[in-house]
Amino acid sequence: MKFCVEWLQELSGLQQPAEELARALTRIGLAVDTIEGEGEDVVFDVEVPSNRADCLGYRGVARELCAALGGRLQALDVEVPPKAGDGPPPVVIEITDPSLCMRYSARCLKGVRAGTSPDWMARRLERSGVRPLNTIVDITNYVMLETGQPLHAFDQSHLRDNRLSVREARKGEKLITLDGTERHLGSDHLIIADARQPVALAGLMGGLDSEINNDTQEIVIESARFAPLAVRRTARALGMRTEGSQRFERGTDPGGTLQAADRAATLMARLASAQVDPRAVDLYPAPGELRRLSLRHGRVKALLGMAIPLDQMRSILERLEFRVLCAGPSHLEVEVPSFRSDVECEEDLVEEVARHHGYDLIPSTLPEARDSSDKVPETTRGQVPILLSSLHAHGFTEGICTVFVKSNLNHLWMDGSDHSVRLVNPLSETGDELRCSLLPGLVAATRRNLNHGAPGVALYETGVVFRTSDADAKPNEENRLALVMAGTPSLGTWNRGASGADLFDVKGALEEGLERAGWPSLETRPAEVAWLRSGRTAQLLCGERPIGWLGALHPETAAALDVDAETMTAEISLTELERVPASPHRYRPLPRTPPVIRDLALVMPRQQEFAEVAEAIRKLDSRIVHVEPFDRYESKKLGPNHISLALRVTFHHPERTLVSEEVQEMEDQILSQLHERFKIRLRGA
Amino acid sequence: METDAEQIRSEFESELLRTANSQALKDLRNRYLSRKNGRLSLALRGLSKLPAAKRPHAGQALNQARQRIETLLAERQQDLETHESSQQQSGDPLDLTLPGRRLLIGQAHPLTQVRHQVESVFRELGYRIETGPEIETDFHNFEALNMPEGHPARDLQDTFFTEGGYLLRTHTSPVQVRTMMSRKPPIRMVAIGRVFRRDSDISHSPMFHQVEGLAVDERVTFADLKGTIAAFCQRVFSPDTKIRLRPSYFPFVEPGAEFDISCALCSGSGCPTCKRSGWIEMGGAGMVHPAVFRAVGYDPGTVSGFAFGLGIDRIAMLKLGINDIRLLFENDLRFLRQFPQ
Ligand SMILES: [Zn+2]
Repeated sequence: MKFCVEWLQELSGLQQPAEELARALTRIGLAVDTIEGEGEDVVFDVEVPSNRADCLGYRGVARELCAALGGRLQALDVEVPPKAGDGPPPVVIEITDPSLCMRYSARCLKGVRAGTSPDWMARRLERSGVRPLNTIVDITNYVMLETGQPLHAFDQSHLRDNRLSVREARKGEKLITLDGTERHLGSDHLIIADARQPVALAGLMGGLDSEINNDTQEIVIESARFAPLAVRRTARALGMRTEGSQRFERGTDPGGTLQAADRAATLMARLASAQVDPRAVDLYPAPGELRRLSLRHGRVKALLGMAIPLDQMRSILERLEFRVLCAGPSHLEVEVPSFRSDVECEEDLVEEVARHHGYDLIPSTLPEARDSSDKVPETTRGQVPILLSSLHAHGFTEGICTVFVKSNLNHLWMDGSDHSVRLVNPLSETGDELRCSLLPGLVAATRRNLNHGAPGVALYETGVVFRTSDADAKPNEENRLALVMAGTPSLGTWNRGASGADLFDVKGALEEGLERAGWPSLETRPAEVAWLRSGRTAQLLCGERPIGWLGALHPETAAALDVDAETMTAEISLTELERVPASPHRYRPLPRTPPVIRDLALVMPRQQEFAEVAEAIRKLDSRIVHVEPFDRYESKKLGPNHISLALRVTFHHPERTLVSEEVQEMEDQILSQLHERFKIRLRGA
Repeated sequence: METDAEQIRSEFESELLRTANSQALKDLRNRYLSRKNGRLSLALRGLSKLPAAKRPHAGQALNQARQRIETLLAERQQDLETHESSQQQSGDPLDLTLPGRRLLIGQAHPLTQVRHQVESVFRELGYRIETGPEIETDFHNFEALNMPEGHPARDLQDTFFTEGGYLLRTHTSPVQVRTMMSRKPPIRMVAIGRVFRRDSDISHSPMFHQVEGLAVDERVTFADLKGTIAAFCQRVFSPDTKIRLRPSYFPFVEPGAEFDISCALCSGSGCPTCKRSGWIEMGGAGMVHPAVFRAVGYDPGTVSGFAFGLGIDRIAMLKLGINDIRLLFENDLRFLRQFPQ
C-alpha cells in the first residue's frame, strides 16, 4: 500500500527524514519496498503483512512508527453533535445473522452539497493511489485510508422505507453495481438491501441506484464490521476485489466503526456543509470481550534465545496500545486492542516484543547437534547418483522439464491401464494435464535444440510422473528416468568425425550406469508399445523386473511432437529399479594366466537374436569367459535372410595357460553347436 | 569364392587405414596372413571343399588378393617406419597448435548442481534430506500449517487443483508436516523439491523449486534460527555474506521473519540487482507456530522449533547471474553447457 510521508508525519508528530522513517518501518516488519517523489510528495510503498488489517490505514502505520521512534499518535479529529432526543432513528438497520456482520454503525446527514474536495485532501488521496471524484466519495475514501475502516455512502433518497438490512442474497436477485455491471446474486453473496431489493454488495461495492451524485442531499454513511469469510466468499464468487474487500477480508476493527462514521460525518459537515443527524445508529448485537493473554518472561527467553527485561516488554506493548492489566514478577497480563485481531496467542505477543526490541539484537547461535530420532536411510541417497554420473560420461545432459502437458500429447503415452491426471484450473500457457511420462517434455526440448541448430542432442531427466487408476484416489507418483538422443550428439574433431547415434548408444549408457551402480545387467525383451516404432522397441528388465522401454519414437508420435529427426528414447521407473537389490562391488582376484582370444566371422539368419547365441556359447564351457560382437553387417552377397556377425570369444583358465589344442577344440565345439542349433556357419565355410 | 577373396581384401583395406603404428600393422598381418589362423590361409584351405572345377579360378582370386595385401602391407610398413623414425629423430614435428581431441561429457542441470550444494551444506550441519509427494492434500499443504479453509494467506499461494480434490503443493512445507507426523523429536530435516503456483512471468514460473529446513527439539530458539540461516548462506554464497532478518508474517510460524542477504554485487552500497537497498530478499523463516505442533500431535509446551525456506531457483539465478527464471526450464543446451559441473 502507498503511504504519503507528510501525512504519516502529521499523524505521528515525527519529523525525521523519509529515509529514517523507512528504515524504522522495515525494521519492525512493515517493509518499505520503494521510496518515490520529493519533498511533500514523498511516497512509501509498504508491504503490509497479510494479517495486519490495522496497517492498511495511516493511523495503524503511524502507531507503529510512534512505538518505534517515540512519537505520539494524534487523536482522531471528530466533532459531531451530542446525542439529542429519542425520536425514531433516521434509518432502520437490521442484521439477520450477527456471524456475518458483527457491527453496523451509520450516520445520516442532510443538506449535503457534494463538490470538489480541497487540494490537501485530493493530493493525499492521489499520492495514496486513489482518484478523487467528489467531496462525499473522497471523504469516505480518505477516512478509509486514515483509519483502515472502509465506508460506504448511500444516497438516502434512494433507500426504500429508510431501511437497510444485512443479509445473504436470494436466488434470482440482481444488482447493478457502481461499475455498471449487472450482478446475478445468490446465497453465496452477502448484501445490503433496502425494504425491497439489494442496494450494495456488503464490503465490496455499492449499487448504481443509490450512488452519490451532485444532486444528492441526504446521505447514510455505512461503517460496518463484516465477517472476513463472508466478504471473501462474495468477492470470490463474483471474481471481484476492491480496496474495501481487501480490508474486510483481513479483519477490520469492530471497535472503530462508529468512530470512523463520525470522522467522515465531521469532514462532510466541514467540507460539504452537511448537517449531521445527532442520532447515530449503531447495531452491535454481540460485542465480544477483548482478548486477554499472558506473556511469560521465561517464554520470551525460551523462544528468542535472549531475555528481554519485563519493564521493557511492558513499555513496548503499551506503546502499541495493549493494556497491561497486571504485571507479576515474571509475567504480564495483557488486553489486546480491538484493532489487533491478528494477536491470538502468547507467541504473537513474543513477536510484538521481539520486533520492536529489534530482531538485530537477537544473538546468532547454532542449535545443539542432535542425532535424528531414528535412523531410516535418506531416500535421496543410494545408487541413482552413480547411474546419473555414468550418463554424464556418455554425453547426456540433464534437462528439467515442466510437469504440465497438453492432454493430446500426454495421451500418446497412455496405454489404457490407467488415467492421466487432469488439472481443474490449468493456466492457458501450461498444459491441462500432469505428465504421465518424462518423454513429451524431453522430446520437445530435443526439437527446440535441433531447431536452434544443434547437430545432435543427448538429454536425460529424472522426475515424478503422475497417473491415477481411480478418479477420486490420490494420483500415483512414480519416479522415473528418461533419455533422449537424436542427431549427432558426439563431438567430432579433425580427422576423426562424429558419428550418428543409434539405439545402442542409449542402451549402452544405461547398461554402463546400472552395472556401475551395482545393479544386475540390463536385459531386453522385444515388445510393442503405442509410442515407439514397431521392430525398434524393447522392454527393459533388471534382475527380471520390468523397469521400462527402449525404442525409437513412433513416426506418429514424432509427428505429433513435431520432431523430424530419428529420436531414440528410453524411459525407466526408478521406483521399480530401486526395488532391485544392488550389490556392492567386491574384489575379484586378478587373472594370473593370460586369456586366449579368437575371432569368429559368422553368417547368421537375420531373425536370430544375438543374446541367445552368446548365451549358448558361454554355457558350453566354463573356460569360455566372454563373448562380444565386434562387427555386424549386411550385404547383397549374403542375401536378405542372412547377416554377417563377427564375434570375439575370450577363453581363460584361472590356473593355467590354455594350449592351442584345447582352444581349438572349444572353438570347434562352438561352431558345431551354432550350426546345429541356429544354422549359423563360419563365413567362407 | 571369388567374392570371398574380394570381401577379404576390402575388409583388409579398411582395417589397414586404421593402423597407427608398427605393432598394429604386425597384428593385422597375422590376422590375415598367419599360416595357422590367417583369414587368407583359412580360405585357401577351404578350397578343397569346392568342386574341382571351381578350384583353380577361386585359388587364383585368393592368390591375387594375397599379393595385393602383401604389397599394401609393405607400403604401409615403409610409411610407418619413415614416420616413426622421423618422429624419433627430429624431435617433434607435431603441430601442437591443433586442438586436442575431447569427449563430449554431459552434466547435471545448473539447478541440480545448486541443489547438491545445498544438500551437502545441510548434511554438514547435521540435517537429513526428506522428500514428499508433489500432489498433496489440503490438510498437509494448508490446514496443518495453520491455514484453515478461508484463510487469506491461501490467496497468496494461488493453487493448482487436480480432479478428485487434491492439489499441487504450493511449498515444501507439507514435508515438515509429514515428517513430524511420522517421527518424534529431535528433528533436523531439510526438504528440497518442486512446488507449483498459478503464476507466470519473468520472475515467476508456475513450477519452481524450494528448500526448507526444520529443527525441532526441547530448546530450539530464534537465535538458533539466525545462526543457522547465517551458516547456511555463508556456505552457499560466500563466507562474508551478511544476513538480516525482518519481522514478517507466515501463518505457520510465530515469531515470523523474512531474511535478506547482503548484495554481493555492490557489497551493500546499492545497485539495480538489490533495488538500491544493499540487501537481497532470500526467503521466509520463523519459530514453528503452536497450532502446527498441535496439528501434528506435538506438545507446544515441551518442544520448540524453527523453520526456514527459500527458492533454489533464486539461489541459482543469483549465483549464476540469470535474470529470467524461464531460462531454467527451457533446456537449451547452449544455456545448460555454460555451467559444466
Ligand atoms: Zn547491490
